[in-house]
Amino acid sequence: MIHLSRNNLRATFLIGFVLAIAVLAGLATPLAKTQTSGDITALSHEAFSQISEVYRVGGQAPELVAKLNAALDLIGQARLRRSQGDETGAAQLEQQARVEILDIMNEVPSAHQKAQRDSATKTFQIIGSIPLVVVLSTCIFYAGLRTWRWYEKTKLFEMRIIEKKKD
Amino acid sequence: MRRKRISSRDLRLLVIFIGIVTVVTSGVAYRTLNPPPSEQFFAMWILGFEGLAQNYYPDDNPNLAVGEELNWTLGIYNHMRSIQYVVVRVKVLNSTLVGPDDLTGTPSPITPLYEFTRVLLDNETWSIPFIWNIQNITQRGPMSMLSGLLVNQIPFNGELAMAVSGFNYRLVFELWFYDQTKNDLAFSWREDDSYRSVWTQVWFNATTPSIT
Repeated sequence: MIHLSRNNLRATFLIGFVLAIAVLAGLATPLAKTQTSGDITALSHEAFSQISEVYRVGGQAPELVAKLNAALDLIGQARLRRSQGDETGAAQLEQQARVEILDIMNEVPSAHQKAQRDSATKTFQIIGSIPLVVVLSTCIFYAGLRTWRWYEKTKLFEMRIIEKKKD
Repeated sequence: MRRKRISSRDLRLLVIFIGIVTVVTSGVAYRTLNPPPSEQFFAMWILGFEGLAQNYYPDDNPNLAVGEELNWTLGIYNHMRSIQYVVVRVKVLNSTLVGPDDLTGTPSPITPLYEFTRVLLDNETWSIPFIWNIQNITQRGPMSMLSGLLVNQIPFNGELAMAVSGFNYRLVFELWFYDQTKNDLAFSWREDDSYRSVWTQVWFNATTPSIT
């Protein structure tokens, strides 16, 4: 009786174990899908934020934007493949997109540094041009003033007193 | 040798001139480095055949038949003064399903049929071809169930939307953008104590079973 109970217990335990594994596997698969899909979207958001920062400091990175758009196209295609049941094709496209996005994120720091450099150069050039413009325009104004004075003087020398004839 | 000296009157004029030029040039430099803020907005529009704001339906008839192709162009313009991550969500609704609300800045709660995603530079315009047709309509008594659409050669099947006798379906296009402060997509933003959101819709009927 006891022997039978032990066998039953073992069998129940085994069935329970197998069922638990099956349930966990079933749960894990859609979770993995969601995680992959959500992951890649979050990664694209992160890449966008980094590129956005480059623009915020006054830089330009159209090539990175173009790359990110290509990656977003791949993500869109992957979503469609998944909705049509092509899990393998979707995963491949997502992997391609991930590689593209990581590549972008690797290039962002140098683009950011370049943007900061360009911004500093632009500020320096604009502020540096202020005294230059002031000196140049003062010289022109001074030359104009001297010319005006010379013109006034010559006019003075040319002046003649004309007496009105009286009848 | 006679040395030319500047008169006190000219010196005074020069000092005044230098002062004015310095102030004006500094102002111009400041404005160049800090441009004044302009209005921030997105714009979205739909164009019909031949890229015009007309001829949305074949023969201007909004009663569409199964398989009848519509060729639209969706346009989005970014004037938010920064690059933007935008998502256009396409939703199929009928007249009673809740649409987006401008006042509260809330989107339609309906699940999107499809999404277009892109990063837009400041002042950039994005044109999206939107070629679609109805693939299937199922009759359920007086109700018509739109159960198949083909958008840009991509089939969408399922219970998309139901309408009485097939009247008053609408395709709603919502513009979402990535909000970096919320770390999520957002449908609306606050400006001048009110919500701003961008969406548009086109109505159609699916009353004819198939092309004659």
